[in-house]
Amino acid sequence: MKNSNNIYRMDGIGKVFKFTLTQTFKNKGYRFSYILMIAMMCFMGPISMLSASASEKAILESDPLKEENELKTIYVQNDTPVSFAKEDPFELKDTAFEKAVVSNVESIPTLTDTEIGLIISEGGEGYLISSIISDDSGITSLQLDELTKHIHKCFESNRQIYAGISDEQMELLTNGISTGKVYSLEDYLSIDSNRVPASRITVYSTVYSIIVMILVSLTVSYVITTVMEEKTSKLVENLLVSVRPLALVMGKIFAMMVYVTSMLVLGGLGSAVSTSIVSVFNKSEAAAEYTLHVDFSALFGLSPWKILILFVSLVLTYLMYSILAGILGSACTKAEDVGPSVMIINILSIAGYISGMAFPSIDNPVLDKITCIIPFISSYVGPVYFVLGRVPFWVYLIGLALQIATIIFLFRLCAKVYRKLIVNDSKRLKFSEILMLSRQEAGNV
Amino acid sequence: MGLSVKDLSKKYGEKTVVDHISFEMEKPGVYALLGTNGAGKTTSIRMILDMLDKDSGEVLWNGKPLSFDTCNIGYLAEERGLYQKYPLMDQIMYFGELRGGNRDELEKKIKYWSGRLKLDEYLYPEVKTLPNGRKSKVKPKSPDQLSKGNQQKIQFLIAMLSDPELLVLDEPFSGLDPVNTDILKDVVREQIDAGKYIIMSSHQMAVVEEFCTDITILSRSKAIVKGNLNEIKKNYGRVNLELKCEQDISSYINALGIQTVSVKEFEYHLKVTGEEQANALLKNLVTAGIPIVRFDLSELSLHEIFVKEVGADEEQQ
Repeated sequence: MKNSNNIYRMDGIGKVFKFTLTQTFKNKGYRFSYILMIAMMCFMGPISMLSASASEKAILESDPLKEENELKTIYVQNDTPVSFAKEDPFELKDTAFEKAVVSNVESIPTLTDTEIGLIISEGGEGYLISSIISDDSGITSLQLDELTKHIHKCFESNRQIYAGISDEQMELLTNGISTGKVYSLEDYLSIDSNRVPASRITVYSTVYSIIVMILVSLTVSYVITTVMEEKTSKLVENLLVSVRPLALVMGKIFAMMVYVTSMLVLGGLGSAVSTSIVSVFNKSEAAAEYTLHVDFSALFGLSPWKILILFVSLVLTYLMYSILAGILGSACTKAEDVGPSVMIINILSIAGYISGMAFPSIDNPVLDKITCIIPFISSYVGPVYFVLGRVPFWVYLIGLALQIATIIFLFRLCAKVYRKLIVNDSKRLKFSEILMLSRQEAGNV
Repeated sequence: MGLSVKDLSKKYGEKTVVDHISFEMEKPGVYALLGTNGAGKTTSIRMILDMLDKDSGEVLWNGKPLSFDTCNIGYLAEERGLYQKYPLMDQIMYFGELRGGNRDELEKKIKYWSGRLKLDEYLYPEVKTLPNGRKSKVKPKSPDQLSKGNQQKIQFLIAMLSDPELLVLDEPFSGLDPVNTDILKDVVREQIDAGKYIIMSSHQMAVVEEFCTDITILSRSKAIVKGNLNEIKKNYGRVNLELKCEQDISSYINALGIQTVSVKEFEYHLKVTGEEQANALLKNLVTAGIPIVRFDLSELSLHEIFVKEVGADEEQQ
């Protein structure tokens, strides 16, 4: 026969999970927020992309006197040896300036309000592209910026052709050089040779931190509210003669984790699909730039086991915060207690998030190691640092071990105190009081 | 065998809330836990059901520690409640499944108990015929639309779903109207006849007296009276005398020093010291040729025993 005094038994967890999840989806409020969140995420990508294109368009169409002041002629005075193609020398076709006529001149003539002069010259520090307009020109400075940017790109590729340099040779010459400090040869050898630059790590770490923070902040209030439901419904006692306390709380926690995860996964997939669809129809430069902006090429180059590490770390982090939310939720006695409990977890989560955003750019090996080890912060930075080769495996392993130890601690604490907390209806207990309560059981957590 | 509660104690800080309480239920029947507010009844029940840690003592069911692994327990808690947002049928099914029932069996049991407790209208959609002849289903009420009494009946239904061997009813009749009280009483009687063990806590002495065979009266966390109800009553003797005559008999009553509790139109409620005093009064009345309509000498009621014992205990303090 099973030991009925075993507080870690979880018989019935499946039934609690199923009931909680089913009822969550049956509830109009939860269903509405689920659909709303997914819809918002689906629209977010296309809206951002379209707004980027729209502002680009608005810039080009902002001149109310567009018809009269439309750019008609671009005079080019090229004082450099770099030559351009005779037909469409600045590749203006399919741009906002395609109607303009390019005229190569020895020197820029007197300009009318629909003409621009461009002087490409060699200076002391390199090449210089100067744009000239008439005093009464209707061409806006924004339009002028767009044009010079385009000419700049065009000049870039032409001078490469002129110098007879291939793309590979160009990359060899222009790849950036950075410096870094490593405190031991062992550390150096353990660092991945394909080290990703600090700026890129900051981007990945920020994105990872945002994902974790969204997961945590959304789940925390759901978990706390759901765990408190037993108290508000006054059904605790009936439940405690039907199901193990740990099964009750963990079933509810897992149900809420699945609810939030499925919401974010569906929202994320929806966003990816909708953004792709919109990008097919939206060929603007801004849209292309928007797509390029989210460059996760380094992540695609990861080995499957590193992707697994990222995934496992994410799940563990999520579990750690959710169990903590479950404990704090069962210590609440009334609706007003939810706020302070949510705040405690959000503070921890924000600390991790800020670390994930700020620390990667500092690029200090000692700081890297410390942040990868401290629980709650390590969960935001550790996995990204490791998979992108910023810290050696052993550092990540220590951080992971400490994180697992924290989860085990919280799990045991939950098993020890949940039954007591859930029948307590006097006042909200602080975390220190919860720890005291656990010590009243035989043995400490 | 049966239920054995040994030496239960509980302290909150320095305050003792349950002080070494023990009792046995060797055979099926109703055991009553009685006491004033805050005497420790609910705390004792929570310890018996292993919801609260005991500072000392043990609770055995057929020689093994009582838990829902070793005993099929049905429990009606003192605090009434239901999940306010979830459909009633889903909640009942959830509790039934947690207790190991399968859906088909549970549906039959819910149907039975719903009829028995007059809860059909709250659990099953009502089919109404519209003026155009079409039939329409009206959703049953949601939990937050139910009265406290009906919520209590739903909780009782949940307690009965697993066909429990041990039924623990904490204040089962409080908040029920007379019609529903009778419905619940009938069910309790059925359960007694079916050989179930029932622990009942209540303030309504008359109702408890109707069912229970054994009692414990708690006062300020201690058991002050404990045992078989009939035995307890016997110990107090037959001291309640209900007497009805057709004329004033005050002089005869006073002559023997008998205490008068109440008088209404020659109908006397007297407190005698015992059978001897009652017989002496009867003899005097017969000798005097006074016609007697009713002469009823009875034991103390549970209510009187409770008030007497708890009052004495409080006076001692």
